[in-house]
Amino acid sequence: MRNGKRIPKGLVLSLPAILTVFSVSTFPLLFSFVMSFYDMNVVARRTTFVGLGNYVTIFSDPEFLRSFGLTAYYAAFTLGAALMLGLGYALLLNERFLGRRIVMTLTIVPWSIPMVVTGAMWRWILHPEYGALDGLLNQLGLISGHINYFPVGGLGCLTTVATVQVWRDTPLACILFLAALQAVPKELFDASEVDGANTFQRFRLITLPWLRPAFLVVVILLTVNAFIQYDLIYMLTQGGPGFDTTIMSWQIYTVSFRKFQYTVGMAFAWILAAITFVLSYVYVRSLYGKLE
Amino acid sequence: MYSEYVTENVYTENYNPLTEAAFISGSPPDVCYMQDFNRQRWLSAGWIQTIEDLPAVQEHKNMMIPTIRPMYESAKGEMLGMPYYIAVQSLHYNSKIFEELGLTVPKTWDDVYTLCKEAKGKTATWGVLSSPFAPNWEKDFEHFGEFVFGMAYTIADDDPFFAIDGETVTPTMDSRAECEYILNWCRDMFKDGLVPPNALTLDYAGELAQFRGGTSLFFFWHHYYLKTSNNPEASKMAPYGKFVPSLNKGGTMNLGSMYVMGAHVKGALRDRAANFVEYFGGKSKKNGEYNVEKRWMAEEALLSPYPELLADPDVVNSFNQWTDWNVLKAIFERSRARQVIREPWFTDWSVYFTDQAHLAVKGEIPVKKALSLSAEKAKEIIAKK
Repeated sequence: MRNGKRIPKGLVLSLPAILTVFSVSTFPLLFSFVMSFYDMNVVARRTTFVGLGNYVTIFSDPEFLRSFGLTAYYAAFTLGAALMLGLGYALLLNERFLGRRIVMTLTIVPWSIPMVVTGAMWRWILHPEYGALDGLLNQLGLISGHINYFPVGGLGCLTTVATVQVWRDTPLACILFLAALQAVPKELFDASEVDGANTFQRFRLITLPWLRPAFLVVVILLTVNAFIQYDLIYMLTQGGPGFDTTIMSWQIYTVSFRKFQYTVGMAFAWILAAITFVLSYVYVRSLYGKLE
Repeated sequence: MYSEYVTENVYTENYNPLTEAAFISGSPPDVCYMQDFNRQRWLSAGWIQTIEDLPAVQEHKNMMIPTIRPMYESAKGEMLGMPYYIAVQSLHYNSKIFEELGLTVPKTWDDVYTLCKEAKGKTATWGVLSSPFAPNWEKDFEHFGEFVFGMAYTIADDDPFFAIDGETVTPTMDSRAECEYILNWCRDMFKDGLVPPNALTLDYAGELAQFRGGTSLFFFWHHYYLKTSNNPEASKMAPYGKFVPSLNKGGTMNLGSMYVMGAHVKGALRDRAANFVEYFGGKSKKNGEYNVEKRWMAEEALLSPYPELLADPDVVNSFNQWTDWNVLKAIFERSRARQVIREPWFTDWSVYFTDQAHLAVKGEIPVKKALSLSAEKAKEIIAKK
């Protein structure tokens, strides 16, 4: 360099990646935040600054509270069920048994299927007359006729969608827990056995604390997955019947791409981002705080 | 097959939002297809242009069935695009089950309800008729609206939802008995288990599967899927799917898509784009044939506004493989397009209406309230315009 200063080679080499991330991720994010303070009417070709107007519109809409409540239920259900099942599977797969590797491979299959494909597949599995699940249950003699997996009113329909998400999320939780379980030093268990600890005590006092970092990752990932869930709603219910499955992410889609109120949708997306950020912060504080 | 260069976007899912995104982001397609309910919105937004000035368009305009032509026109009567396909909203029935159960083809929607009630739980060739009517009531874009408006056009000579006088649009759904009748009919069908229990979430493919599987008496949607439902290779109950020739007053609704040009298309590119839309949506001056339009009809059983094609022996023979062409042609000739979908605010209102209609059908709010709320919403949106 002419003035004697050298641009670090690392920065030069990273520049293409930095520019790419900025242009496809950072810039659209910042742009959407700025636009959330505007009213954009594409038909009239008019963009007007409205300050917090879009946010006021969202918070004053009675549908906001309903969708927030449904989202909270959806997140709590998927998180709770996937955590328990994932931990159970991980504990099982941590033991040695014949065919363990095959079971482990099969366990991860649901997670490896794209969400839209998962939705399309379950749409047919749960079809009211030609569904594979009813077919199986009928053949096993457990039911006669059909079960309506998408009942109207209450939380039944949303629970069905959440169950499909649990089916897909459980392998992720399982793999993360399993990785953590396999890192637990065997000496700890040997020592505790010598000290006379029983199985439950060993699980509570050694296994669970050791799993805490994995627990944190799983909780954050699954919560975010639940809050941003869109594909399954799109494929299974389209937010219906009525508003029974209109969680916040679906409302963002409806506002943005069905009502074409793009900037209101952007404001809504930022509210959702803020909620997931706050939740993640709470998780990190409560779980990592204890680690430190 | 086609040698000139123009760009067209092809999306298989979320077509409308993705195409709008392409226009807004400044990377518009030169030509694209457009569903009829988007026409005024896309035109007003300055994304597409009228093609009224193209000599070939004038020729084709005069060749179209006059009652069908408005589908391709803006609110001012200018041609916006060339035909892609048209389908008619129609009631299909399974003639084999009718024969087995000794049923008579319905003449009114009340008859349809009674026949479904009578058939529910009975066993026919393909199984038990647990939900005899396969509707398309999910919240996917415009499907419920198409059902409701399609039904409305069979029981009223005008549009009972909106009165249109020149540029003035007045919502009338809260004062017209036909609208109340339609939502009450849907609610009763749902409450009495004559449609699948998850009819409000089951998508069209699921409903179609039920009809094709032979466990539904009726299927009401536009005839786009005629070939699928009546093709022995794809349908269990083929060739027994037939059209109910007419219901109540006998009219019905048609709907479809057209090929349009992006507003940015000018000069030599516009000449090429004009050739493209003509080749795809009309009789090409290159070879004097209805190239793509005829294939849509002969191979996919879709309709076209050109009488010459409706009388083409290849087309007629092809249609007769799937249905009685004369019945479908008569339904088509009595059909009309919705005028209200020319309003740029229509999609916004339609989303709101579907929500309210869902709540009424599931019994969460009274039908009258759903209609009055929808009328109020329409007034509010129109006032904002």
